[in-house]
Amino acid sequence: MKNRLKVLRAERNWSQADLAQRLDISRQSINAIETGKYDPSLPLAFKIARLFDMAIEAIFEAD
Amino acid sequence: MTWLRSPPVLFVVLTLVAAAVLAGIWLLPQGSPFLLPVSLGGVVALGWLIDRCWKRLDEAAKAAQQAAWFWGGSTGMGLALGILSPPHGRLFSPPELPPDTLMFGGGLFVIAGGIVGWLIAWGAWWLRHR
Repeated sequence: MKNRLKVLRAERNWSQADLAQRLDISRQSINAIETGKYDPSLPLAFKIARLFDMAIEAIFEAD
Repeated sequence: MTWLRSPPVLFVVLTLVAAAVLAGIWLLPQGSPFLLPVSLGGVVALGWLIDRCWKRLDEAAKAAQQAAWFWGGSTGMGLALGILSPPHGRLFSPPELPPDTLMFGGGLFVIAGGIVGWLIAWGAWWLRHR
């Protein structure tokens, strides 16, 4: 699954560690999600969408 | 305090608690009536600690643990069992050692095999997902 997490994070000048702290997950997990190597669960996807105030499908896109 | 979530830190804490439980059991005199309560208490304490550690992990870390225990743990334990199985196991079973010591050593060897396998698979999971 592709996602725009890296772009959205960069737009806000957040580091991976900043985003990890806001989502209460590890920086390694943020990296894995950003690189598309790990697909987040639905609850985490909702949490990410809420944080960026966007719809899930505006952030994540099926391959 | 995110370092507390780090699997190596959790692993060291769990190992220390497990070692303390084992030391407590070994310090009991032979045939002590406290053997069962101390062992059960140790298992409950370890279970509680593992539960707390598990809840601290985020979902990717949990996925890594599940994959590592399933693939690495089971493969490692299987290999250790294979090494200990007759006739290969006789190489590691000096006849001068009493059966209970051999049995305990065998158990520890299988657990150690599982832990080594887990460690390798856990590292491989994070390498694949970085």
